Amino acid sequence: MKSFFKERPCLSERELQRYVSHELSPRQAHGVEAHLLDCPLCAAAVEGFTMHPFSAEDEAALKELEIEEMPPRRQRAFGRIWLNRAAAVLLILAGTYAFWQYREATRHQAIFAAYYDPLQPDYLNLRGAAAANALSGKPELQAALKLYKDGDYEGSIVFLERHLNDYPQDIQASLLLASALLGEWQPERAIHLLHQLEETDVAAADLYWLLALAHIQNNELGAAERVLNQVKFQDSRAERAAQLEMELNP
Amino acid sequence: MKLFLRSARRSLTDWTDEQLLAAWQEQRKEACFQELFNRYHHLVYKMCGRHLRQAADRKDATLETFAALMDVPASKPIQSLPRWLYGIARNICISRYRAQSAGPVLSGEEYFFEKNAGEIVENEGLLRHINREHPHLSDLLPRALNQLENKQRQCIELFYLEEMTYKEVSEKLGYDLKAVKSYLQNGRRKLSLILQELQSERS
Repeated sequence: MKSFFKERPCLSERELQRYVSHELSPRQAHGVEAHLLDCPLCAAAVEGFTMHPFSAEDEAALKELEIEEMPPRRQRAFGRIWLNRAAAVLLILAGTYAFWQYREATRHQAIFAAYYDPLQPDYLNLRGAAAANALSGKPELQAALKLYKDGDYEGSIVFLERHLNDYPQDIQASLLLASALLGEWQPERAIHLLHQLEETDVAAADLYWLLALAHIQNNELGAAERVLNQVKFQDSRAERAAQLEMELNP
Repeated sequence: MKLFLRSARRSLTDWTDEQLLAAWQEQRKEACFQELFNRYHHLVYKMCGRHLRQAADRKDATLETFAALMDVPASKPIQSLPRWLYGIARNICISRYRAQSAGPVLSGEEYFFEKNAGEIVENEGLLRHINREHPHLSDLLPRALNQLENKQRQCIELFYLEEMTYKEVSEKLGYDLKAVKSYLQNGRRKLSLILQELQSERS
């Protein structure tokens, strides 16, 4: 008599279909029939389904019902509109953030590009006998200067390093190498080299100008600012340094 | 997000009708209404097949039924949703049938609807109610069964005690399938009344 009090949910679409098609086991069928005695809706649905076998039209109608836009769904559509708006705002914010991030990431590159001019070493200003004396017997330096002048920093680095192996005290060549390294976007090597030159009597203006640019290239804008404050630049370099400081600290 | 929505949706399938209805009526939770629609729309549609011949009419009547459910205020609690849907859908079908016939319902038609309406045991919920609220009454069942007509008692015992199907009961007793259903329904109705009497006697 247990089944007298059994409660079960209403028939699913598949269960109803299987019951009407006699595809259920006797035990399952009994469970369904006990429910049918108790549930007017399921009983009427079974009867309706049995009375008029479903056509393709009915199947289509039921499918449509599954995606039918009931008023709550319309309300959900309003919700979706808000969701879309929120998504659009988020997209804009994300875009702005990405743009800001990109701008921040490339800011140092832009500053470097605006302020970097390859250092003009004294060698290039030598003329006549002075030039002949300075460069005589130094084929690597000659080759390096030629390449440097042509903007081939990669090639000039090779010959400058060879030259510095033979003439490690050549400060002008070292400065030139640091400038070429910046031209080749090798800031860390340039910084290392320039710090070595701090111990020498190299022109401080050239040294710290290049060091500041090296830090900028290495995206160390704070360090670049500190370097600029270490030295008092003269003439046109002073003006450029002031502009660069403003750029670094807008 | 999709996974979250799917899992939230899955959990709604575990809710009872009462919980879903309360969430819809009191908080207008659309997902809850949608779950109720998913649960019952196919039954309402098929039920409409008893009265309406066109698929489009059945579909409209189904939508109309759920639109009515949508507007039920929280102050009007629904005891049994399947029964409520059945009542509303039946009324909608009758109205549509009348409108399509362009006139009053003829006596034959009236009989058709009355006949179909009468197939449902009116106080079907009583047995469930007894089980929930007065489980001690189940010991009265054997006495109550003895007071039923022989055919009704036979059908109820085979169906509920032996857990036979309508067909098996029909074959065993040699009654027509419709007659078995009728004995079962009428027997249950009568059994409820007898149990009520026995309960009042006891109290």
